[in-house]
Amino acid sequence: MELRGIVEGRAIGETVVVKNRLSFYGEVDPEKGTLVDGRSIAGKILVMEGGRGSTVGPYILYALSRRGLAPSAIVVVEAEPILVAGAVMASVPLVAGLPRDLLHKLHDGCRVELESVPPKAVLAIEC
Amino acid sequence: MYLTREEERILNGEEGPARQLAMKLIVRVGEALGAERLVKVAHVHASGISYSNIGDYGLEFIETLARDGKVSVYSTFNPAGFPLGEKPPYPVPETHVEKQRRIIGALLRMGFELSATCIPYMLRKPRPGEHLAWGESSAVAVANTLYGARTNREGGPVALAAALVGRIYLWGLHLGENRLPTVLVRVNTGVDDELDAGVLGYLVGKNLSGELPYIDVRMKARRQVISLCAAAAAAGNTAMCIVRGISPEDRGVPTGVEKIVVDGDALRRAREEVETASIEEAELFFTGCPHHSSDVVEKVVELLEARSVTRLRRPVWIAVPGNMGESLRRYGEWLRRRGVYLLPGTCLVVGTLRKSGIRAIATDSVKTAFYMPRRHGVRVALASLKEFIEAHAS
Repeated sequence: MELRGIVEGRAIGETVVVKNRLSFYGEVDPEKGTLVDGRSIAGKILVMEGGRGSTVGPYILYALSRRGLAPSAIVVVEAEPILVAGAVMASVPLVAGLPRDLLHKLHDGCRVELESVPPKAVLAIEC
Repeated sequence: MYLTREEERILNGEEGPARQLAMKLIVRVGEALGAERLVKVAHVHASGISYSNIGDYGLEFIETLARDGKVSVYSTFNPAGFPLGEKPPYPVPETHVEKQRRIIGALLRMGFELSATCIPYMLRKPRPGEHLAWGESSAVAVANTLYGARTNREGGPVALAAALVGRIYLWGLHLGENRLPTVLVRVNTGVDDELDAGVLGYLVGKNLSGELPYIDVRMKARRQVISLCAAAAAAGNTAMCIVRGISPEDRGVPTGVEKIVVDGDALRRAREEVETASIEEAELFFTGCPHHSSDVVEKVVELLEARSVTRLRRPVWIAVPGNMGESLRRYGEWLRRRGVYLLPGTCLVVGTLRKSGIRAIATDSVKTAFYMPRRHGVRVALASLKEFIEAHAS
């Protein structure tokens, strides 16, 4: 599948799916790399609708990467500036343009392989 | 995105890792927004530098940038989490003081001006049509509305990045076609002071997020426009208004756009909505959101002298820019004896007031009244400074 590459890089890993928008500030534990529901995003391919919320969010993603707890890539339906800033600071590959209906079909534990070379990205998913 | 040869060089890391990261941040965010190129800016103002706001992770990032990063354009920063160079009239946690000092130290090493203020336009006056990259929502709205300069609202890290490379993506309010009014706000009632202007701003921000309002109102003082801008930017995402007869880009009352009428009743209701405490409950009066310049401090001195006030029964706190602490020191002791405290380089909205046990304050700032209950659980009454001083003089 061809999508939009926003931040460059390659990654292979298992999905963690968040069906809506995520605010890294307040909804991700920067010391543990976990979501409020306890799921870990460390080393995973985080698939979600997009980012939202506080401008402190980028610092949280940056902190995760410094602690080796960042996701290995982020795939979103729509990329907004706060998420993009965080992904650049944390050097996490970021891919946008995931079809919304596909997001709703995906679940945790799917295998993703992706390569992002802005403005393009290639993505393979196996569930 | 189209990049010049110099911009490519920075992106390739030829000017060091900090500038490379900064350029990458701006280019990638710009690409995600659909910007076609970058534009040089004349002044960067960074918000999100209070330790109580950005915490250890923000501190960590700013210190990493400061290892080899230097600003390449005139750059200033927002208020810190406690008063600089003055003993605060309320307790501030010690770790907070130390870490805030580290953040400011890193900014100064990068070449930022020791500013610690939310009124960067008092340090360097923006020119009409000039490009800026500013954080601090109230200053952004003032730059666009009052000075006709061009800036979007840039969040913490992006503004820091813009300081290092002196550029921002050409997008949003940097483009003339996005600076035209999209809605007409006709104000059918008197807007007499800063407080009224703030309440009007609150209405505009709350109801017209995402619009560019033309405000058909008669305003007397620039401070009223500032108050309006600050409240509108806090209550919504308003980054620019056109105020009739004041904004440099006023081309007359627009036609063919939606029209909204604000009357005295609407203002009264809005004020009731914002007010969360009574004046009797207020433990102190806070003014200076946005920061005051020295003339307000002088006005307070005059007011106290004229009434021979020896002591206010409840204190007045005045927030001023961080670099004004020194020049106002001559008033400091005299004012403190009378119960007036200067707070240089800080802001209650990004501070730790709650931890000091204060539960209710009075203010003339609708922006403060909007944020304090939401962020700090401190309730707020609205009043004018003069009213408060007269009520509590002895």
